[in-house]
Amino acid sequence: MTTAETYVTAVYLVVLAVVLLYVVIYAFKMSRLEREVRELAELAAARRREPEPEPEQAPVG
Amino acid sequence: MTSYLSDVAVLARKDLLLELRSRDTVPAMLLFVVSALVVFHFALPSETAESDLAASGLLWVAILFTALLGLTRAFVAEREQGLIDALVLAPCDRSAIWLAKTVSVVCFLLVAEAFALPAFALFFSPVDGVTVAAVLLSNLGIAAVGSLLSAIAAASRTRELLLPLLFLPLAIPIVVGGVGASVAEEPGRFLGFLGLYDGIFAIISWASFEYVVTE
Amino acid sequence: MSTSLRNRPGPALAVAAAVLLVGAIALAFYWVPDDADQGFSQRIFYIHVPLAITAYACFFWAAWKALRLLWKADERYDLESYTAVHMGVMFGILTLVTGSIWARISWGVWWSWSERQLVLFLVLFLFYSAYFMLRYSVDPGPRRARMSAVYALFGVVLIPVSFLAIRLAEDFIHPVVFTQRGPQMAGSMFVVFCLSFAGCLALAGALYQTELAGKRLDVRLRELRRALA
Repeated sequence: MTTAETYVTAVYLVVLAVVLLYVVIYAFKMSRLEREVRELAELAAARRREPEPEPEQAPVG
Repeated sequence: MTSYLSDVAVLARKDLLLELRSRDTVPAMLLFVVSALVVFHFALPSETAESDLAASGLLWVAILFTALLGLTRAFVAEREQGLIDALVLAPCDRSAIWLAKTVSVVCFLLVAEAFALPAFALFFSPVDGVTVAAVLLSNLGIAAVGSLLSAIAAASRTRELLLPLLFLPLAIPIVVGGVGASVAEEPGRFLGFLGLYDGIFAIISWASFEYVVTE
Repeated sequence: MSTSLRNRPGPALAVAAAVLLVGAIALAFYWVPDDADQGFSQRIFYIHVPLAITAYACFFWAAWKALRLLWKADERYDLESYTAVHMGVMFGILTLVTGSIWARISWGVWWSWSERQLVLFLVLFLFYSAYFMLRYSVDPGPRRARMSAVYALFGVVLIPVSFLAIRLAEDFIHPVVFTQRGPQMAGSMFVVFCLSFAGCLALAGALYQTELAGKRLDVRLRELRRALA
């Protein structure tokens, strides 16, 4: 390949690389969001199962 | 209309009186601009120092950073005393606050430049009428944009850090206009450009100030 | 939740982007004739200029959403404006990098102050990077939304003013004489350019939709967490 061809290919590869990098970062973000959804769903389910715990009786006076 | 202008006058007068009594900001600006010019002398190799082109650029760098120094303090008093909330609640148009602040910043800049220009003429090269005109024209642009950005920065956590970041990209056209006017054979275009910048940014700063300052 | 309706443009845009861009790149490499002046290296034009125009489009879109926010005081527009600025900065960085490589191959230097577009993008990159600094240093809320919106509007005003400044500055910043970049495009070149441009816009749109959906989800999850905790 001539120098010109190398550079031109490099340009298009850089664009591809940046877009793919974005996709990778986004995949990580999505897995974090999924984890949060799971945690919140468990929290909500736990809330529904257990009644409100009795507040501790503390001696007054 | 007259009540708007009288609001502006009252607020500007407050700022100027405060500065006259406390003498916080302006002496610092004066000292800073002269120190900066001295640093520039040592920062340049001797051949370029003689050349008018390099030197005019330095004047503008010095003015910009001195302005930043003053602008960082612009809304500090209001913030510390909780005055911003009082002013915002007051029945005056919020943009009057911006206009008053712009007027007072212009005054501070004028005082600083009254020292900076002679110092520059002394240390580097003589200052001609066109340069003075450019400096005066740029004051409005710097003050207009700077007042708005200063209000934004004052509401942030990083205050003094944020203002230069916000201000410098917007100040690039001012530098181009100013240096161009000093250096080019036909300064008219550059002075016209400075006027255009002033007009455009003064209008949008005036219009958007109230969105920036209300809670 | 209406996100399902809003998400529908996403996949369609992504497919369109893929098809258009792959097609345009293939054509740019194999079909289009060499430029008479610059030879093979001119083919960078087919991605560099569409990226630049798309970046501008993102900034204008951000300013439009910012204006809507200030006008209607609807916080929904804040995330949209923010995402658009993010896209604009991404495409701006791509423009700078591709432009720099083009400068290297055309004139042997990695940066040229006489390339107006590049200099303009540098100034805009600095400006919009400060946008992110602004967002990170103000606590979330309607105030941050409004300040970001005002700043985004300033950005769009800065674009023509900066361009004018850069043109004026060329008078006293050692103008170097380089040949103009925009070729007199033959028909085939114009077709490829348009394809690439449409592809870049579609890409920006697809990324914008995904990012916006992600940000909205983030906000909702935070609210949910606050409600449950």
